[in-house]
Amino acid sequence: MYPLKHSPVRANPDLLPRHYRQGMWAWILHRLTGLGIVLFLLMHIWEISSVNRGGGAAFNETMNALRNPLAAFGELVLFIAVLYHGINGIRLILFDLGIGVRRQRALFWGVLVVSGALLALGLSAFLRLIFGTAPALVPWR
Amino acid sequence: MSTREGSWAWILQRLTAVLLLALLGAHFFVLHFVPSETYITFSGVAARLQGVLFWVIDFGLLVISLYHGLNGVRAVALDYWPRVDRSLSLALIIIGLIATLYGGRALTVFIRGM
Amino acid sequence: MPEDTFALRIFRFDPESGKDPGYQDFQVPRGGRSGGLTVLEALFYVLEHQDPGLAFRYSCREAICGSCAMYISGEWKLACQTQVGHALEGNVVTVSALPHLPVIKDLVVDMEPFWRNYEKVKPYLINDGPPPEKERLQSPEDRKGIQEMADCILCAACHSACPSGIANEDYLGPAALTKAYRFVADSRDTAREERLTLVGNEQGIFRCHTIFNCVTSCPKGINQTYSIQQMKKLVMKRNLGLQL
Repeated sequence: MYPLKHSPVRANPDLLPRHYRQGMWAWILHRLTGLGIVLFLLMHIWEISSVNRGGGAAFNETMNALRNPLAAFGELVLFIAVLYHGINGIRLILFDLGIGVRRQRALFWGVLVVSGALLALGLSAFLRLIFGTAPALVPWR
Repeated sequence: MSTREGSWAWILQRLTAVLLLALLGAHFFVLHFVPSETYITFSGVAARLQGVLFWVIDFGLLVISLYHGLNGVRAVALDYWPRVDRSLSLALIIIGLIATLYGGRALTVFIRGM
Repeated sequence: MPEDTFALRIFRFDPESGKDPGYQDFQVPRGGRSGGLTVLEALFYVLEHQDPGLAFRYSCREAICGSCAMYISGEWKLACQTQVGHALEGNVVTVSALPHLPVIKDLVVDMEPFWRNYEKVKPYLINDGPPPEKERLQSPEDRKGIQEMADCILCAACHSACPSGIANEDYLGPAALTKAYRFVADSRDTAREERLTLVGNEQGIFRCHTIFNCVTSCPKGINQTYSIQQMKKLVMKRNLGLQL
């Protein structure tokens, strides 16, 4: 008799995301950005805590070392990740409040639109950071 | 994992999320749109961190973001390795405590300004 | 005539053959001018004309028994409810067993993990009151509130589609949780507290990450996430000592 419970065989769904729906994309992006931000958080604490290891001099040295194009690009990626994670987080909390559970697709597009709009504002600040001058997209500048 | 613990972890994740939206927004704004100097230096940061309010906000940000982040890692890990709950929780609590103490000490160094 | 056929790509696994699982292609006629061939009928064609050893489950052929849930061209569907024309990718329809459940043979999965979790939520009416003379009556309005959850045909499509706790066979899953809410919201049920305790933990509602794969995969159009979110609210209310 074949032992049913111990069949090791599983059919797997597509690893390629050709059939992912809005909710699945929202979740995967939320998860990936979340894990990335945790990694950054620990690095951020380590880098700020250089004062623990060598006082103000060590801190200034660390900040100098971080003033390079790669770190600026990393900050841009971080900015996008936090933006998406935060705004999709609002979407998730709305679900928890019972809002939009039957409107999840529309809400996902809303998340992308709001993230995109804020990203455009943030990009102007980054362009100023990288090139020294930037188009005045930010209303308070 | 008892019933209530699971539900408290869940609601705390939501509460810290809302707090982070506000705190992180303020953090971002202060660092990028209220610049006191061109480059970040120890003396510049120390001067800004002199207010008790700043220390409280920054320490709160440290604790809340660590809780939200590490609890998130736990939620992710339990999806794929459901049996590691206790050891994983313990490891994450230890990481969180060390990071809080180490980062908190750094903040104190800034306040003392030396 | 090749232009009148399509390729039915079927997940094959025979534990007695000792061979690895894999996909096998069969050429199936599209069903002439009348069209309207369902994936289940295409499977029958293979069974009758090409391989009598093909194993799959079915019963009612009209989307009410929930036996023929499969993974068809990348989506969770009932084979009897799915037109070949809607499942074609190029000239191929791919049919797999329900993902994440142990495969017994070909398209037949072991539903044990599904039923085990289904039983955990006590999927039956509990009423401590004295038995009434005839039956426990419910007003049409009260009944309307649980209509959606009561529509479930237990096909396990949502259970198999849910990525929350994907490697966790003790996660109750969307089908069992929807069933739990069907009784939590039932005006005749008296075991609300007990039911909320059963689901209000991290193997239950708090493992749900609101991904909505269950909602998109449900052949009956049920919104499982609604049920789960309603119970999250009730559990939090109970934790805070509020009136349920």
